[in-house]
Amino acid sequence: MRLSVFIRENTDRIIKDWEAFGRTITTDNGPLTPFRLRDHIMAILAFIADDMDSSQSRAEQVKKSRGEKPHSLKTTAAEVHASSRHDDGYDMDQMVSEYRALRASIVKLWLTQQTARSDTDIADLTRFHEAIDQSLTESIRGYTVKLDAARNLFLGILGHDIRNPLGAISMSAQVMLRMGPSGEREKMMLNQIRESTERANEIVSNLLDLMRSRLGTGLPIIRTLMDVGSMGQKIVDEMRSMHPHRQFAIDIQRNLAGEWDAPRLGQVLSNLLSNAVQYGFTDSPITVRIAGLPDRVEMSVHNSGTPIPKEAAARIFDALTRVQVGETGEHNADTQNLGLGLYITKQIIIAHGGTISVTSDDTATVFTTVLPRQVSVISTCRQAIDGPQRYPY
Amino acid sequence: MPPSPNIISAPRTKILVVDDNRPAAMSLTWAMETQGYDVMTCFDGPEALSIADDFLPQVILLDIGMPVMDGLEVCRRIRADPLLSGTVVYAQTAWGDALMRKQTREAGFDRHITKPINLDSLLVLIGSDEQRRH
Repeated sequence: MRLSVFIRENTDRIIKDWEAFGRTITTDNGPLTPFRLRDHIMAILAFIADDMDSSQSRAEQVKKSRGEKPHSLKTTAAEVHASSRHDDGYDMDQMVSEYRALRASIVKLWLTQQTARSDTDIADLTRFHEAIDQSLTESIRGYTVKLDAARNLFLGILGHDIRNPLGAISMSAQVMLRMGPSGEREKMMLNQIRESTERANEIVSNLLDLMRSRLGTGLPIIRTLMDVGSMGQKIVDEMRSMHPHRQFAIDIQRNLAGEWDAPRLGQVLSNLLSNAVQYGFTDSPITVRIAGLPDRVEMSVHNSGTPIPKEAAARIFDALTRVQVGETGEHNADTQNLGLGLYITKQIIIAHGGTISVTSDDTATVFTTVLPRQVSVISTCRQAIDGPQRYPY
Repeated sequence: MPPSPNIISAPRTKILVVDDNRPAAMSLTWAMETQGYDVMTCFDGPEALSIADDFLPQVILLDIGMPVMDGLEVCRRIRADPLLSGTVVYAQTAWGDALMRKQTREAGFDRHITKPINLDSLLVLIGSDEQRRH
């Protein structure tokens, strides 16, 4: 009997084995009912049998084996199954082990009832394993999606809940400063409280941006008519007042008006300049260059400093990596968290359809951002479909 | 200069503080009281609406993210109330992006301040609203 036929005609026995194995899995949630144990196994078995029966060219087979089969837009039974297993308290190992047991049980049941080997056995087994691997991959994807969602929700709640006490601490310190502290030292300490809560709040903002950027649609931006040159000048002026002992130069060219998210671009430039202040030589100037081209605006930040090693430069825009570069080589506890800042900077640029890159050698370290002018049809459609964002909190 | 009750002058500006988080509400209340304003405090939307009709504040500092009735809804109702037509309503929220500002503007807020609040900036804004009234 062909394997796909065997599967269709023996679903009861296969499902019994599936349930029996399921009962050996223990989770914190306690034993599952037979209904939950079975979950989507029927649909998964149906998929496997159908997939085995579908015709497949040699080229398609090669593609499938490389995992290049296109991901369908509809959610599959395997993905939904993974979601249920996640909610039931299974960890990923346990979910995967069910598939291993399923594979073994089907093959064993089939081979046991075969009275003789047939020419099609190898082809059947090959298609069978491909189908199981397909379902397994989909389940892993579904499970991972759930994990990410749970983690993001956690981050969001954490970030938001921390803001209230931070606000109360900061406000109380501000009020005390206004009431007139009794001495210089008291004033210093109150200012320290205020500044440190601002820093803590910045970290919270970065965490929340990290969460939003991983929600699938990326970091949300709102385009308005703006001038990158004016924005650049404003940010440089702010940096000058924050760092009076450093030299900042700005070189602005014509043709810098367009539609971008002004506060977000300000955030990008502030981040790049703060890094330049942190990691550049204190006695050399930091230069901002903004140039307008027909199809794009290029904004770059230049400074002299210890060159960033090639391996570090490759990972510099990844979340949660910290580059140990500094004039003294020490890790200053006060340094801005380089990890999240550049990651979010990159997400902002990506959300604008642009690119960011870094080059670093003994002469200079240069961060270059490219902001395309043209808004592609796809991105405007996306904004129309997704509609106004609902803030969960 | 904070208005002093000993000097005959315009009556103290009345401010209503609304925030479901008590430490946040109280620290903002103390900040406003220290400045010499006449302050009332409450912790949810429905209470804010009923107090506002009695107290008739010139300024309402309204938290957005509240359970039961969120700040946007409270503001819409304030704007629908003729008794409060002269009141300046501030949105207090951690979200300062363009999208949130659009939402608060559309709900009828006059001003949008981000948390954690910068007290100096807030006092400048309230002061400038006072100037315009007198």
